[in-house]
Amino acid sequence: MYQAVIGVEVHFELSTETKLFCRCKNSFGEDENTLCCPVCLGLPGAIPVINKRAVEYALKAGLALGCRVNSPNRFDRKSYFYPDMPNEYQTTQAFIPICVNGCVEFEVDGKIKSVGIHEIHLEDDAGKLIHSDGGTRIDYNRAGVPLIEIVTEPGLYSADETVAFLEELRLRMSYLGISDCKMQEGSMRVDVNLSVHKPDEPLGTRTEIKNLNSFRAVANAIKNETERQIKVIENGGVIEQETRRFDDTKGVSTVMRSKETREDYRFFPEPNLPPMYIPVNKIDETRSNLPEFAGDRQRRLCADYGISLADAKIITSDRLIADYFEAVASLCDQREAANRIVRDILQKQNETKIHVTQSCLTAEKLAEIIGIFMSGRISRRTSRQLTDVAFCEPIDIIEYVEKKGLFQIVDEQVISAAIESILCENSSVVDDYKNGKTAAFSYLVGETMKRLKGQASPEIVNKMLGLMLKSNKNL
Amino acid sequence: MDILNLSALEMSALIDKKEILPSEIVCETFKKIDTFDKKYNAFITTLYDSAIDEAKKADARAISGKRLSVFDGIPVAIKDNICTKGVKTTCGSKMLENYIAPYDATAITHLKNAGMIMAGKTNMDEFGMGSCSDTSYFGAVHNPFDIIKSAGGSSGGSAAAVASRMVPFALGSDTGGSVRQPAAMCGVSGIKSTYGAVSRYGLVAYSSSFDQIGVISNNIADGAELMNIISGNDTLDSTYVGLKDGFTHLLSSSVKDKVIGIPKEYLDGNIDGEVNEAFLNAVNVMKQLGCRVEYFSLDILKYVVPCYYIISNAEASTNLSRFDGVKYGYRAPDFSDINDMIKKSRSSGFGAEVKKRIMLGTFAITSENYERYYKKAMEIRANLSSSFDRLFERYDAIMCPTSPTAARPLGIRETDNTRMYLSDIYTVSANIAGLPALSVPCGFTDEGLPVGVQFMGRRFCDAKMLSFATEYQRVTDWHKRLPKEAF
Repeated sequence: MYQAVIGVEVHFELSTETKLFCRCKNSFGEDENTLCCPVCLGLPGAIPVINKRAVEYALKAGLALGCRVNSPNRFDRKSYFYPDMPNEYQTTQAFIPICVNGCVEFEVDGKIKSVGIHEIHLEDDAGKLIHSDGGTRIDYNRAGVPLIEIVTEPGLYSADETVAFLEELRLRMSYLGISDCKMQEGSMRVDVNLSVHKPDEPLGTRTEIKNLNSFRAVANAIKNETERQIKVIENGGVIEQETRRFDDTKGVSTVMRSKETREDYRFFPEPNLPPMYIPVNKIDETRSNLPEFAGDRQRRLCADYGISLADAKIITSDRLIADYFEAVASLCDQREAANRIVRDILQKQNETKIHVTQSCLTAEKLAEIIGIFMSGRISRRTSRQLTDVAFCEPIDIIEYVEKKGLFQIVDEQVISAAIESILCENSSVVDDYKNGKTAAFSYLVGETMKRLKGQASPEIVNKMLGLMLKSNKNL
Repeated sequence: MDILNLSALEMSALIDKKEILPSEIVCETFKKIDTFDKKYNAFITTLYDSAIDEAKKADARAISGKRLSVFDGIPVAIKDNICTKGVKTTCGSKMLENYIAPYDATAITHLKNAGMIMAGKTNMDEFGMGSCSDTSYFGAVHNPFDIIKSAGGSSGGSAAAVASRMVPFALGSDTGGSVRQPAAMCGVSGIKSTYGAVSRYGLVAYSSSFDQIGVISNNIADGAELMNIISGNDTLDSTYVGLKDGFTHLLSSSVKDKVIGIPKEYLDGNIDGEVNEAFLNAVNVMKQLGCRVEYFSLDILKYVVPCYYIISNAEASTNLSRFDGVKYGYRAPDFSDINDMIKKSRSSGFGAEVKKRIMLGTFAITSENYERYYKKAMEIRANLSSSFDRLFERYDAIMCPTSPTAARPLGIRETDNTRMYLSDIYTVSANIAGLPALSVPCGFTDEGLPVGVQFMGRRFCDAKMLSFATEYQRVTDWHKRLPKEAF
């Protein structure tokens, strides 16, 4: 009878070459404080210059989410003291964000839903505090890294819906190639705003939940907070507007900041950055260069390549995999290509933690393996073994198969000669077969394979043996 | 010490003729600083060693006839809120008492590329906040015309150094009059360009939308040449536009038949009688040069001071947030945790005037007050800008006093803040509207204190504005009067 109403604020770190307001490299995992300059350290006298690429990325994100673009848009200062923030204010877009009023469709349990996008704004990231026994140190490598914050309307109504939306959002951002979208590395961060109410009553007071490091944590936090709020209301209590921190391992949330201690951020325009005008032709050009997103691509892959929707979904969950699939499928049997990628390649990626596009297995090589498999010259097992090796080493496929003697015997004359001698030597088994013992057939296959040192194509042996048993009723 | 009484352009001509070497000028400069700066306290840091080194290199260039610019080998003083690599940049504050900037401001890079020689860093009101150069952590600057008087502010050190001819010119910064007003107080010339003509990269911000690096010099011709140098290209300040034709191409053009506007509001009420008289004499000089003079009334001028203080303090309150004791600058010795450290460092690192302005600015942009104060001030700003645009359709220049009074005695703090802030009434308009403005000496009070007259021009028409002042200085000699005590 209570309904949860959910909105999310999602930060993506943009994968630009350089930071938002200076020319320092934007990179994760480098030595501490090696990617810094007067601007991103907030030294006296240093002032920002906007990174055009970051603006382009934000524009792409906005257009991919159906937003309207504000031209001009503007930066503002958000003041609060925190030791990892070099200027002691964040440079963000509080009054006129770059993109507003979008809408995103996403699928939940086979049904299409949609949620409004309130705004997308650009802002700079802070540094990182590193706590240790010896005290706290600060790494400013991340300070000034460009972020976009995507804020939805309160238009999501369950954990499943929220996660489905976030999956769609992550997919779109990764298709745009503007962010690594890695929650564990913090390049995608989700905060949840949630309130509960009875459907015919006004919206309740919302709380904000932070510290959500995975989609699973998002789902758990939503369930947990919904229950908590309902319980408070049922017990006659009042929901306070506050920020809570969710602990996914314990499955509980605790108050981080209450309304009383909430800061006044004193937003006001950043005087060092003039308003940004985005020309209409730039918007049109960006819009027309948007990639085909996962949903459309799934439908196209099913229609054009005849693969299953289930496989298409898996393949399109990574733009690079989908590109890889299309490259492979253009060179060999399309369904087999889907089959191999979904079953073998993704598993191999998981095992090795290497993306197939970074591996030695180029699309051409995988297509070559599939090609010789489909021609019957190698067995399925051999082809799997080949994929494994070719993933890690830059082998020449044919040379490797030859050297290892992995080609199958497909010559029907050789195979029928072998079968004939087996049938002669095993007349009693042939009689058994004629008397209806099906196991006898397998035995004869096995004997033939043995005679051919296991190198014969099992398909051809099966076929020939069947034919020969049928045509030689007198044997 | 005669060389130092020459203008920078005259020094340069002698170097060209090989009658004098840069190192000789630089030696004289440091002799003079050593002798007189105990009295004036114009410098926070002097750069003898590096100046001598650079001067020797300039000597070599002069001898081989390969000078880098018209001011190659000429010494210049730098206000101590402009970052200089490897040299202390204190902003006149305990907060940055030992702060050494790791980079050069763009203007400094241009000076160095021109072969100019930094003599030292000049004293100033803490972070540029003040108009008497008495809020400095390093003590007040004394006026060379009368050492018991203020040198004006906030670029008082630069003005005093130029007035006493320690250096022919100096860089200052002007947020609400901080170049023009001390220039007026010390009987020298001060130029503040159109907002955006000079890069602010490396100028420690007081109020980013008003701040401009400017020049204080013996005369306008020297100052205009120096403006040409420091206004060179920059890619690090997003508000930098530059000045296409530079500052000097109209310097010797006639002002005959040009129309000068004078705001009536500025000549009522607060203005000192002697200042008013000196100003009216200057107006007569312009008439004799063939200018037509008209008086106009602009009602909105009565709001400029509150408008200026709201916006500048709002910006200052966040610009100065970075001084937190975390990364650089003063850190309190004892504290219980990080928040306590930040609080204590800021409480004892900043002086009273700075803390007051941070608090005022913080107040003006709280969510509760934003509309009431900040937004209203921004509306006044927009209105004032367009009012000036309209005025400049009619007038070629606007003329008014630089300050309502001559230099005030040191040691007597103005207890009435409103009155103190009102002394900026004539200078802040140019900053609010982003206009070029300058001050040149136009007379003396009976006490012997200099008085300045201000010219304002249309945005990006700095060169035209300068032509009025050069014409004025061609027919007057107020700018040649030297303070007796300094010689």
